[in-house]
Amino acid sequence: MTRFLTLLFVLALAMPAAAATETHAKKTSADTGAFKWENAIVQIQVSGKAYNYLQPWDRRQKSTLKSGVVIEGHQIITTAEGLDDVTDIQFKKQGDGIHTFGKIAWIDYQANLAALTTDDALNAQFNPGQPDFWQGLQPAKLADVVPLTGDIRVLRWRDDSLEARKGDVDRMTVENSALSFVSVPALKIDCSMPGVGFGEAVVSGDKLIGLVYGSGGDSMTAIPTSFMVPIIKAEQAKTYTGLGYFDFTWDTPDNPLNLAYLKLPGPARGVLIKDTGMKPGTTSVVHPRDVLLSIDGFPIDSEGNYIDPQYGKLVLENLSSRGKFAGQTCKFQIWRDGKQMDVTYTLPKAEFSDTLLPQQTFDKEPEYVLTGGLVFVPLSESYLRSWGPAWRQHAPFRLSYYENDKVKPDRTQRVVLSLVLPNPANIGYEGLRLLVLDEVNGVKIKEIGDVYTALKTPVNGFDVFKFDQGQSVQELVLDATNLDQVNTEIMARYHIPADHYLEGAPSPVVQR
Amino acid sequence: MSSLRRAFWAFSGLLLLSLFPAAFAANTDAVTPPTSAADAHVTAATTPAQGTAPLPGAGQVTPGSQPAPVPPGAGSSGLPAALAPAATPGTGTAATPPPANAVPPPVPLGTPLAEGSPTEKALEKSVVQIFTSFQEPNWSSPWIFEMPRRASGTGFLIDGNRIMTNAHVVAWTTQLVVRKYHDPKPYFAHVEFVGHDVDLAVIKIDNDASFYDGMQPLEFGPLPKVRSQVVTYGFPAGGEQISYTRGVVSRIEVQSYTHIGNKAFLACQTDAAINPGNSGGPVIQDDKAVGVAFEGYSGASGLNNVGFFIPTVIIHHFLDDIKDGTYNGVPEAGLQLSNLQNPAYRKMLQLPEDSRRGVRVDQILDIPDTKALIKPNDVILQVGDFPVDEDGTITYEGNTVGVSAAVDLAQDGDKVPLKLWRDGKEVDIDLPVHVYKDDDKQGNQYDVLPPYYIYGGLVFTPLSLDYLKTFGQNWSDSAGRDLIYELVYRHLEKPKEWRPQPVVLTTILNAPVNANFSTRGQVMVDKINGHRIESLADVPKAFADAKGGDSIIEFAPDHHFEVIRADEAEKATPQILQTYSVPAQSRL
Repeated sequence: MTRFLTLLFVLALAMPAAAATETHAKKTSADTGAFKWENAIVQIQVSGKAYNYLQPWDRRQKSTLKSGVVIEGHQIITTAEGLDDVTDIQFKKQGDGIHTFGKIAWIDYQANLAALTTDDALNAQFNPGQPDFWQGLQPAKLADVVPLTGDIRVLRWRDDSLEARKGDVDRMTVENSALSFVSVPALKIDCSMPGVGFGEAVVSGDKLIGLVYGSGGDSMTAIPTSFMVPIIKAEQAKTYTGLGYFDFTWDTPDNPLNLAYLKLPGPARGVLIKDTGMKPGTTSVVHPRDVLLSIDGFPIDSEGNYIDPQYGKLVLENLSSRGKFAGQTCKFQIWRDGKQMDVTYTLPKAEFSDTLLPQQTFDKEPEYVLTGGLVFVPLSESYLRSWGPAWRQHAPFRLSYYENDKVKPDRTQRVVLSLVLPNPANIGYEGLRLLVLDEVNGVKIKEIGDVYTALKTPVNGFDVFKFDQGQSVQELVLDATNLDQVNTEIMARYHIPADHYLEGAPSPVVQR
Repeated sequence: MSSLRRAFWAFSGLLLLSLFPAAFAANTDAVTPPTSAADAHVTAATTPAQGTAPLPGAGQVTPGSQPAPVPPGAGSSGLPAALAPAATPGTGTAATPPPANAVPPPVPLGTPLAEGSPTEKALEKSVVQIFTSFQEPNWSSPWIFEMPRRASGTGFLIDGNRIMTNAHVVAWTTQLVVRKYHDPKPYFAHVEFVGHDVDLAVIKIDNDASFYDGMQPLEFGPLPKVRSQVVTYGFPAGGEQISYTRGVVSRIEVQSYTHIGNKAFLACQTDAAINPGNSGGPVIQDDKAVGVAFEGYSGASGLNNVGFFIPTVIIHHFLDDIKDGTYNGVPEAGLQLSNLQNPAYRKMLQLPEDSRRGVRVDQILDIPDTKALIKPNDVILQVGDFPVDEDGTITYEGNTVGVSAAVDLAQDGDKVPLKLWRDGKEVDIDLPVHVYKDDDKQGNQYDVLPPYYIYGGLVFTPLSLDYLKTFGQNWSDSAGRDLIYELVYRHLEKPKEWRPQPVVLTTILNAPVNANFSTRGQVMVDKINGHRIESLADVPKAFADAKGGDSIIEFAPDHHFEVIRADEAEKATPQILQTYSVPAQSRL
């Protein structure tokens, strides 16, 4: 009897545990086999500096909560979004309340990828005696080839539980990277999970197949691991040169007469090169009106697609990053002047400074020069986004139209008089703004640093500012003889800490 | 509102509001179809030439206007005006007002007429109601005309058996009918002269002298004083009976004339109600006409009791201009001016320290006479008899107004005496001023049928503001950015690349000969058969030079090109024209 009661008691004790296991199993329904995803996914709390490009001396804090996946080498892979200008990274694992300090191991904004690791020095200082963060965590396996069929799950930590949603792969496509103009592969997933887009893991069985970066309605977009794996390997081997891209634009030859005009016989195929040389300082091996017939042996059809052996029909831009990086070459077969020929195309490195309006200005405080109340800044998309995400419609037309212009060797930036802080020294100019600067004191302005330099050499005691032809004002003048005092007054009145910030500039106050 | 539109309005110194010509009564005619915001051909609900956001362009200036509460970016990305005010440059915001402690001179008030007095009754007999049937062209399918519509406005008899009214009352008219005081008979009329820049017109009754029985022409009075009373006579909201409203003259300044959209001239603001239907009616003071009612703010603007009338100085300019049988327009000096309030600039230009006069020449338009006589950084001290203050204003009959008002007194070809300050000395010159036509396409066009040329179903037309407006109410967002840049900025920034008449492939009338084109329209034409296209007239000549049987059309700015078989295009063109009921291949 006692033995029977004991048995009942043991069974009674076992039952709640079984129930807990079942509940836990529901929460982590992505588990298959021995791999427990809760040991591979961590939460990442990121704080960073946010800037106001209209008042470039302002600093605020931004915070983001992201998700990451543990990989080999004591690293956590995640998307790069939110990691710019970071001031603090903290990890949280397995529903554990303790935060561990982290740092960036490497980051590639063009690819929207980053690897984080623990900041051992900070942890030793502020988390002494805590167990090793990596204990209990398991590195995930990353799929070299992403399956386009079969069950997948999207996973993230939520309220200390691992949330899982079932989904289906819709397709693999190619689109602009989340942070860049570079075209990269993108995994489209049908899955409904509100609030994703911060590096959530997409898994298939016991393999990671993607990190989510975009969502809308019942679908989401992920970076596929087939794109990530070569980058991770190259980073870990310290051989990564960055993403390359095709710095030309093209048209589809819908009109067969267009190809006939170019004397290309046979059925319509390939694409017509339109504009080249988007990478500044390079000479393109392809010319306008070349017909691009194949890349690395992959024929290009008349829609601009090729047949990828793993993912089917993809647009040709994918071949700029399909296992290749900046500085590596692609073999182009082209049609030019009535003849077929092969050219070797070297992939230029994708950099934000390639465009006259840099798309991003990450890890760089906003540059400005303040003199006599005139605030000069370099024009960038970051600046124009001050008018909102739809800046192409809402920002001043002429400034936004500069995205159509190319960088030239003698003019790598457009510098804008962004604002005039009223002071008696600038009376008459107080309504001026958004004028593009051409020269200061006779010095042509190539980039913002030239403004600072030119102000050291006034002309007969005056600082003379000339703006681009066609601007609503061509010229204005300040008295340079008392400008130091004026600048001091203005900085005090408008609570500005320094009269300039320029990368690499030695001191924050203009010395005359 | 897009940034571009904000720039237009702010540069003109107006609030971000709709400013309508006080045009027409609501149209109840069954002929007029209901309009919708989606109808790309309609620029206003019932009125042609209703105020639309003008392009910042030559001549668009409003110094002395109330400051516009502009969001970032507005105003200073706009274009320079042909003769900008010396208001704060680039924004069109208010010039510095006269000093607050200035004592205004005593203002004699106008004598309000006793209601029902014999004088008032005599005056009203000279005021007429004008009914117009009008039909506008379609600027993107230029062989098509929109549905005829009807509207009404007001006019009044002046000397020479002429009826004065607004240009926007008679624009695009196909029939004018005039109704006079207590007379049921419809009198047909025709337009004798029209000045779309100043929004004035004179019409004449067709062959019926009895019309003038019992009518006396109104005399014109002087520029009224601010705060004096005026009465408007007209037919707001149509109606059968003449309507009167009284108010004061609130302000006199240079104001945008929204009918043309890219010009600004002297205008009087009043709180006498001016509503649709009042357009063209006289504004009376001391039994004389002191102006023609023409604009007001719409209810959506949030402003109350703000209407405008054209003062007699502008009316006399118009009437003097037409004396030779042709209306030329108001000439421009071709100068962009900038205020000279900044002491550093004044010092650099060696202006006397105790002087508060002069505005600086900032830019000079491509007008030969002006370029020959004026230099950048010249300071204009005086225009005619008017000294110019450092904020770009003059005192015109007791009113502080923008300096452009002085130049607007001249007729086409006149020489305007200027006193300049140059290189530390005064210089006197006589500047010939001419009517500037290069910015016509940047304003609203009227009574000029849109040119076009059709080849193989490809429809070509010149780029213009009227064409861009066919993209809809928010055309500045939806029209191609390249087209907007070409129309608004190219000639100022890159004059060497500028084309006098940029041409657009506006649409393609589908036919087998053009079925494979990937471009379907709304793109600018760069070259045809290697010939750079500077104007529409170049297009047929270029197509006639097809080499090897094919014509190649290259588009700007992205080097896209299309090829069309020349013989097939020529053969197909008549059939395409017939299919789409196009009456002629071209209107050049």
